[in-house]
Amino acid sequence: MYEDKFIENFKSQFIDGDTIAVDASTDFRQIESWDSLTGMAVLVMIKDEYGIDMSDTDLKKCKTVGDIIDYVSAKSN
Amino acid sequence: MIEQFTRYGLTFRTVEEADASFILALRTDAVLSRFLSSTEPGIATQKEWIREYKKRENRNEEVYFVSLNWQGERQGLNRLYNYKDDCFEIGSWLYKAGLDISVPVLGDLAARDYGFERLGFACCNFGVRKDNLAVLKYHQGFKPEKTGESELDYYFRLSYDDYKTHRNKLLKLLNHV
Repeated sequence: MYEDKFIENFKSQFIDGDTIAVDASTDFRQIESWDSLTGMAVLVMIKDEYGIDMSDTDLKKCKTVGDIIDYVSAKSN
Repeated sequence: MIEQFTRYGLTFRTVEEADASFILALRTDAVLSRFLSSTEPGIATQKEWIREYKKRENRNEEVYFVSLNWQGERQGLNRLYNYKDDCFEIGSWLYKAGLDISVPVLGDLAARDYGFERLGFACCNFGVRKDNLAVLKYHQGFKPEKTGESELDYYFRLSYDDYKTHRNKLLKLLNHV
């Protein structure tokens, strides 16, 4: 999994994905447009793009985008 | 008549006049109400709306649910209405800000389950504001059939089979399977 590609996929789940700045250190819950449906969209994207069932409980444990990348990477191996 | 059921960890009961201030607070919230039809301000007007709604509920034309968490705290709203032929329409989907990501989604799924499985309808109609992109994306995950559009809205129809396929995927991600 390439980090840049994941971040692009992650950003595309936001309604303003074209304009927000996101990197691995971003605390995603602090993004103004983050809401429950965006969170759900991220879980669906991870399932569809990476074949990984990340639950909302798992997502709760993540603070940054990098934490999600680490989770997906670990599950991919 | 108060209809009540519990599903996916939430309890749903039909709204009462005592819910007027909760409904009004959600429907007039500056952020939450961006994509809603306008709501008349004032508790008295809201209570009058609920009294008229209860007449429709008693005629089995409509159900408007408030969802509660295990502590009995109101979480959000879901409404089923416009029962026509073998379809119901779903709308008024509105939940408090700051909830776990699962709560509004489980609320939507429980309400649609009610329409399909309790009321026995074969399809679900709904409209989405064209600029309500997050909700539009969420609904499109179910792969509904687009049935039309107006200047402001897209209109969709979702079959029970297509609904179940995506519902089960979401429930798995939300640890409810």
